[in-house]
Formats: sequence, C-alpha cells, structure tokens
Amino acid sequence: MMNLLGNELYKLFKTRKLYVFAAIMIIVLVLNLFRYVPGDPMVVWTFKHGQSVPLNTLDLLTQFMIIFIPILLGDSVTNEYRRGTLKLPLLRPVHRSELLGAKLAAMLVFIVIMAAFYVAAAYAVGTYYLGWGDGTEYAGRVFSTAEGIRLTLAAVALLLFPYAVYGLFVTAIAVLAGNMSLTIISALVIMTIALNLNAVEAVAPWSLAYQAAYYHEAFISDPDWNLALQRTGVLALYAVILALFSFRMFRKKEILY
Amino acid sequence: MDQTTVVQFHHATKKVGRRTLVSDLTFEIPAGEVFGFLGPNGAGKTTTIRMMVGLVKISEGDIFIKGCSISRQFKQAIRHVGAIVENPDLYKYLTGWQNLKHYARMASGIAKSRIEEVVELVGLKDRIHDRVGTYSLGMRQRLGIAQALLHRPSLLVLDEPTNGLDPQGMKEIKELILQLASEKDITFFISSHLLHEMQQLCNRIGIIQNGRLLMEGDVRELTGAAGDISLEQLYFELTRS
Repeated sequence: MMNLLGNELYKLFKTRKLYVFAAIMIIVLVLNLFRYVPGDPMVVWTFKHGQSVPLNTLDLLTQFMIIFIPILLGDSVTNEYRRGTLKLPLLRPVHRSELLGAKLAAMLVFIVIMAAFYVAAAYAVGTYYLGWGDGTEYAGRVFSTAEGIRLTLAAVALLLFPYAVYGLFVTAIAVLAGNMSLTIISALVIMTIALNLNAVEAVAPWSLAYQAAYYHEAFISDPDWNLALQRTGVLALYAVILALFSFRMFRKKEILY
Repeated sequence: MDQTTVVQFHHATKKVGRRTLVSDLTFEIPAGEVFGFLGPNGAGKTTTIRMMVGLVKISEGDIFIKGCSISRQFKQAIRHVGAIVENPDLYKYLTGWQNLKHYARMASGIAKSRIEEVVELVGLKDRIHDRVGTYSLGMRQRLGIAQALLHRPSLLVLDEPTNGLDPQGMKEIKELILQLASEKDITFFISSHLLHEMQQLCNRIGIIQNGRLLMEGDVRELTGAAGDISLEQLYFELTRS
C-alpha cells in the first residue's frame, strides 16, 4: 500500500499540478488584497491586520478545494482510465481497492499540502498589504497573536474533514465518468447548486457544500458541541456511503480503454 | 489440468446485455508455446485478452493461469502474467526508467538490477532516461514489453504487438519475442491479424470469429492436415465458411 501511495505522490509532484494550484492561490489572494481597504462598505471582510487574513478568508480556501479536487481526481482516476494508463497497474498483483485507496490517500496528502500552503500564503500576502497587526480579528472579537494562530490552524485542520468527504464525492463521480471533463463539470455543477442552496435552512445542515464552508465554525471561537456533533455525524455518514459506493464501483468497473 | 499447462480457458464467455462478445472458449496453452490468437477485427480477440487478465469480468466460465482462477484468485493468477493490452499506455511525462520503477514498486522483489536487465534485454539502454513522450511507437512497445517482463512472468500476453509499427519496428519486436521465447522460457499469447507474421512466430494458433473459436492447435499439424497450405489460406478458408 505504501508503494502504491508512493507512486501516486510521485505522479502528483511530477505533473506540476501542485505548483500551478499554489500559484493560482497566491494570485487570487493578491487580487483580493491589493485594493482592500478595511471598512469599505462594498466588501464583506472587516479585518484590519494581516494576521487575520487566513482565518477570515477560509471561504476562499474552500472555493479552491471545490475546484482543485475534481481536477486532481479527474486526472488520477478518470483520465488514467481514459488514457489507458490505469490498465497496466491493474495487471499487477494489486487489488483494485488497494489502488483506489492509494489514490484517495494521495488526495488527502494533496489537501493537507494545499491547505498548509494557503495558510502560509495568506499570512504572507496579508502581512505584505496590511502589516502583521497586534491581534487576530475573528467573529467580532480580537484574539492575541498566539491564540489567533491556534484558531487559524484549528479551523484549517477541521476543514480537512469536509474537504476529504468532498474528495470522496468527486471520486464517486470519477469512477463512473468516462472522461475527465465530465468528472470536473459534474462535480462543479452539483457543488455550485448545493452552495446556492446553503441559504435554505432545511437543506443546509445536510448539504456537503454547507459543511465544506462552515463545518469549523461549530468548534472554534464559541464552540457549540451539539452542532459540532451533528455536523460531524452528517459528514461521517456521507464519507461511509460515498467510500462504499466508490470502492464497489471501481472493483466492478470494466476497463475498456 | 496438466502441470505444464499455463493457460486454461474453461467455457469462458463474455456477454454485454443481450450481446455475446465471446462465446464458450475452451482450450489450453502448454508451457513454452508461442500461441497466436488470430481473427478479423471485432472477432473478440481483445475482449478475450481483457477477460484473461481481469480487466473485464467473465460472464460465464473461467480462465485459469497456472491453475489459479483469474476471477477468484486474481493476485495469485496475475503474478504469472506480463501483458500489453492494445497499446503500451505508459506515463508520457515520465522517463522510461521512471515508468519501470513505477511498475516495479507494484510487485515484490524487483531490484534495480532487474530493471537494468530488462532495459538491456529490450535494447532501450541509450534512451531509458528520456521522457516516454519523445519515444517512437516501436520504442514504447519495447518499453511496454520491458514493464511486462519486470516480475519474471511465465506468460506474456501481447495484443497486436506490431500494430502501427514500421517494418524495422516490426522486425525488432518479432526478434525480441523469438529471443524471449527461446532464452527465457516464456509462454506467449499473441493476438494479431497479421497472418504471415504469426506463421513465422507461433507454433500454436487459435482462430476466432464472431466470438467463437473456430480452430485451435499446432500450426504445422493444422496446415498439414489441410493439405500443406499456408496459414493464410487456412485462415481464409475457415473464416469464409
């Protein structure tokens, strides 16, 4: 299994996707911050300090993940099937479940790397444009720098869970789809619709898009443990169903290319 | 099953919906043979190979590799097989060497020296550190054979190995197959519709049409029994009728 994961990571670093995605993150952060004026009524953000940028712009990270994860899995699952490169690994003494497991593990590594890079880039770009500041602003309060960093890291670490479940959702599409574009477009369309339904109170708690954006808020700053438990339960249910479905479909998939 | 039998088809059938793509294949391939699987386009050659290596499910019957069922004992069965199905689809953004390392990690006991050995064997030593995207089709085919040989299989399955190659490439692949068959004691299962080439390479053939096996046996015996005709004549007589 570790060898298979090694193969997937090797391909991930070789295809330069990580570097392109990292560059896109920096460009978007710069475009958002170079004209940002705290207190501007046209802007939703209110923070004044650079150290507040990562924690207050996590919705940007979520949007990146919503786009990057389908590109990653569309390539490593659907595109490999379509290009025929999935064939040769399947002719080795390796079970299909192990191969898909390695691809999912590589996706988790990808998510962690991207999230860590985003935090570092947001601190750097935020400090460059706004200065470091003397506290981290969040939810109408100001935290000490140390507390702010702790909150930021906790929020990002918590969001890894909904991102990973979203990855399973994309995997379920990727094993069914016949080409990479279909995987990416399907995932993005479904997620966009779901994001737009976040305003509907009855739907939001059950929506993966809602959890990907707000999961961490139940835990940090003023924790609501009942809500945290409910959100975790919903995500865990999604994870189990999507993983079972993906592995089953991948095991049964007829390799025709 | 005889101990020397490498492949055994046991009523292997592939159905998709109501369509039967391959019907009731039953035959055996003894060790050390170069078996040619002949048939026109769409006859079911590639589907048979895909069933044989577990890429598609067998609808009925089974296929055994060295006594292990490919559908029920996949890992044990596939350990004995090296294969190229249709095209040698390797990672074009990696070098030949990186591709081989990638596949070597997927089976146990393949050392660097073994990778060097197969590179030498297929004659790719000078270009092995170049990106596969820069390789000719013939070189990719040879790299494909190298990856198939890494784990020392006793059966090599090649689907139309000379398809799309120029005459020089075809000659090189044929020589490589003959060299491997004689020196490395590997059983070959080669699908093709190039009859002249198959007559030169194979000592045993099976002819398939519309998913059904028309004939199977020793090339010399089959052509001799039909009145010392060429494989090409035998093939056209069979497929016409």
